[in-house]
Amino acid sequence: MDRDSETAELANYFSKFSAALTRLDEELARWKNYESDYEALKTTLLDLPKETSHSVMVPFGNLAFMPGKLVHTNEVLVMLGDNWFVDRSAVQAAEIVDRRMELVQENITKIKAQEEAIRTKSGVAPGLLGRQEYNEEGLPIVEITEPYFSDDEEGAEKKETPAGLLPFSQKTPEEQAADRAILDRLAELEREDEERERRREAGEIVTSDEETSESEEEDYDDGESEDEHRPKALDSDEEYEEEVWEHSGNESEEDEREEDLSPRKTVRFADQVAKAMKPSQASSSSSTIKTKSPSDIFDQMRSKQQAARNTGSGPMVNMSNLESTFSNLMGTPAAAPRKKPLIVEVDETPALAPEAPALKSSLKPTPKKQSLFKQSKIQEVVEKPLIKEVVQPAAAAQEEIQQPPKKLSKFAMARAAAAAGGSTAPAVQAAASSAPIIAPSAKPAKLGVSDLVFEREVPSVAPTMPGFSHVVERNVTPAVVKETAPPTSSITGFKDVVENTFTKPAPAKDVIENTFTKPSGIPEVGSSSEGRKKSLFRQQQQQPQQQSARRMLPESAFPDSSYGLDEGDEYDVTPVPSISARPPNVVVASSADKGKAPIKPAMKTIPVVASSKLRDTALLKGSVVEREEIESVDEDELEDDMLMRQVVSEYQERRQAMIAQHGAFNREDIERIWEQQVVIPPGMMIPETPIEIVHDMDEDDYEEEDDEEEEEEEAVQETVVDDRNQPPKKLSLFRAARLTGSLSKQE
Amino acid sequence: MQSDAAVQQKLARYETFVNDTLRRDLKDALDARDVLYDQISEYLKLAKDIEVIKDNGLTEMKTQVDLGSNFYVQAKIPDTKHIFVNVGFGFHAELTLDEALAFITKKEAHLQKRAEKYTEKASQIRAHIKLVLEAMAEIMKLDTTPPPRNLNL
Repeated sequence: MDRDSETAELANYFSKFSAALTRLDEELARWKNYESDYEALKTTLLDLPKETSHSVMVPFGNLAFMPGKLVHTNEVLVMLGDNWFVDRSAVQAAEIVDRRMELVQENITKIKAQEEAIRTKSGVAPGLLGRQEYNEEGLPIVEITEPYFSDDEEGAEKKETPAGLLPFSQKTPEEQAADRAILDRLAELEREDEERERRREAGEIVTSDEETSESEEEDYDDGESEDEHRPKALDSDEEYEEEVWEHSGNESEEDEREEDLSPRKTVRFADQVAKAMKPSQASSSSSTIKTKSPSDIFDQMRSKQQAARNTGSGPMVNMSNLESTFSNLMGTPAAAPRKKPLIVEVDETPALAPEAPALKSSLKPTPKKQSLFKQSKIQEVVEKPLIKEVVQPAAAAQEEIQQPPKKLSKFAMARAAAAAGGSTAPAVQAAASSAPIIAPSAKPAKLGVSDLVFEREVPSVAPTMPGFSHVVERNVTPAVVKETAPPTSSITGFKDVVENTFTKPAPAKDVIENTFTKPSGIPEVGSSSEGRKKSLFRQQQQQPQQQSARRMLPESAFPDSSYGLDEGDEYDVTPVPSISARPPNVVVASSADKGKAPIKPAMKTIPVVASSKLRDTALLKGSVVEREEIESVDEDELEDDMLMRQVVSEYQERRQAMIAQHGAFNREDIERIWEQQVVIPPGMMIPETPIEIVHDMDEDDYEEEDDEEEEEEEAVQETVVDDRNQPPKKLSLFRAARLTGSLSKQE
Repeated sequence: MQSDAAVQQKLARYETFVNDTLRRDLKDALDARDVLYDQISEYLKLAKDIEVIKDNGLTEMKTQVDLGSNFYVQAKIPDTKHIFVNVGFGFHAELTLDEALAFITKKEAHLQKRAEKYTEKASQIRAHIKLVLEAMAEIMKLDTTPPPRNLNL
């Protein structure tokens, strides 16, 4: 019934609207007809006096005519209405026609506005009038329907693992095969674990002993041991409880022994990362290799997944844990060059990004230097997309390609969008030049940066940038080979090169583009960089200050560098030449570019002082950017700009306010709303647009109309408060009217 | 006996037939006749004008031409011997005044005939309407339903 009444109401609504619309359409057609008539008449009138006489067929009623001539072509008898005629010249008559045309136009716009209003009202029930709705682009409005597959969501989590394989393609086939094997194993483990979870939920007991043994033996796929235990567990409730107690005790013991081994503890892992990663435990753990066993990684992955599942901001949680882990690690004596730091670093990466790097690093129980290098590189690659994503909105396209500057520019962006990617590079430089050992010092800087990024990073995992990764892929292999061949010196040289690159972002980009086009040239470039390495390194060592001064790009007071430095001292332990983690493409760029003349700094960079003072952490942390070379600014221009902005904003504000208040902006719309809403007290004069009659209009009336129209236009634009402007005055009047009306009502 | 609902349905159908078909046809016929009458009156007016010219023996005359929207300009017809008359189908024939008068009488008679045809058609339709309505009324009387609506035209 309700529905019926609604339908009836709707039908009623519809009929009313359609009736109004047809009426308006007729009206509109009539006025349009007048318009065309007057247009034709005007052309005739203007053509008429060009000759003294025109031979025409003089109409004789509707059905007949006679050949004749128009004479006295400059005399036109115009009917003003009500059978009053006036003799006018052709031009004067044309003027009359003009004024009538204005009237006609006005009426047409009015009718159109009315029609529009009706259509808007009918928009409450779209399609009511059988008209296709269109959006502002003129395209038909359609409902977007997308098929929903619930499988997608379920599969999303599992897909994380394949997604983590991003740098997979950079590996050699053997490595890839190994990875695949590991992944398969992991998947198996996961299945196993899930199964166990199910059993546990079903009230069955799986001892942690068993689990441990399983994990130690890496014997995951057989259920024999479980079968042994199960009957025992099911014997009686007491026994069951006892067992639980026992196992819990065992667990706590094992917690200390092999934290990450038991899959059962994975749930806890997210909460207890710091504890789990405690250096003492790590060192006391049976072997470092154990920690890096697949199960370990698996645990990490699981914990991450869990964290992500449990909390919306999973990465953030992980981050804090990881940070605490970091602090713990820093406290550790750098006894042996274990792979622990690396792992930590690895952990950090997958917190946000694909987990593949973690897997990779842990795949090799005893990684060599080279492999470490590679790993870190890969990590870098993984990190890159993330950072890129963050920076992208602010950074220019050119800057996007340069990874390290961008990384830092992310920070700069937070403070001033104007700060360029190039300005951030010096952070690394500062770290490098101040610390005698180049390799380690650079790493902390990087770490600091990445930390920063992660802290600010939104949980969402950044999609990989195909183009970018492509570049990396191409360049990586040759560069890596080159770097790894010469042991330490190459690394330092490399570092140097990197630094140089950082100082010249603009050319770097060019070269990267070049490498894009001809990847074959990369090996050569790499070799050339090798040749230069030593000299450059020496140069840098001897005169770091000069070097900084020599750089075309002024150094920025980048707070992050201090951060990197702080950590750098503690991180000297790390054997990983993290500089190598710099994207190889950058190296290539720099080496190719070295010969080139001074390069212009990036356009948007804010010139900053390159003084040693700035490396003071206190200064840097204050996020104060000192300027040495200040670009001259046209103050007048600036002022004008500000003024303009102010005016515009004021206008917009007022306009918004008006719209908000009345739900419309057009004067007519507002008037209509007033008419509907306002109770007008007697004696209140409301200026209203006169209702025009086409034919009986005096010329003076027309002129008045003109004035009013002008005023209307002003009102619509209405940028500055002006007393002459009608609408504001009217506005206030009406508001007053409404106020009084409401007051009287209250009384 | 048919069920009440069926009868009602039939009645409704008849009524719609009357309203949607017969009455519309009637209106069309009357409109067409009105057009013809308009034409006849136009021709009669023209005949009257020609009579005036002839009676006054005007060889040339001045008149005012409406340019549209009641803007008049003076016009001069130097020779009134010939007149172009619309003979139908968009053709205009150049006729002398006498010929024009003769043509107009013929044309008028022809139009009258056509108009009468339309009149006949209209009265037929009216008769049909009346018939249907009375039939409906009879059915309704039999069914002791309320008296028919729209009986009188």
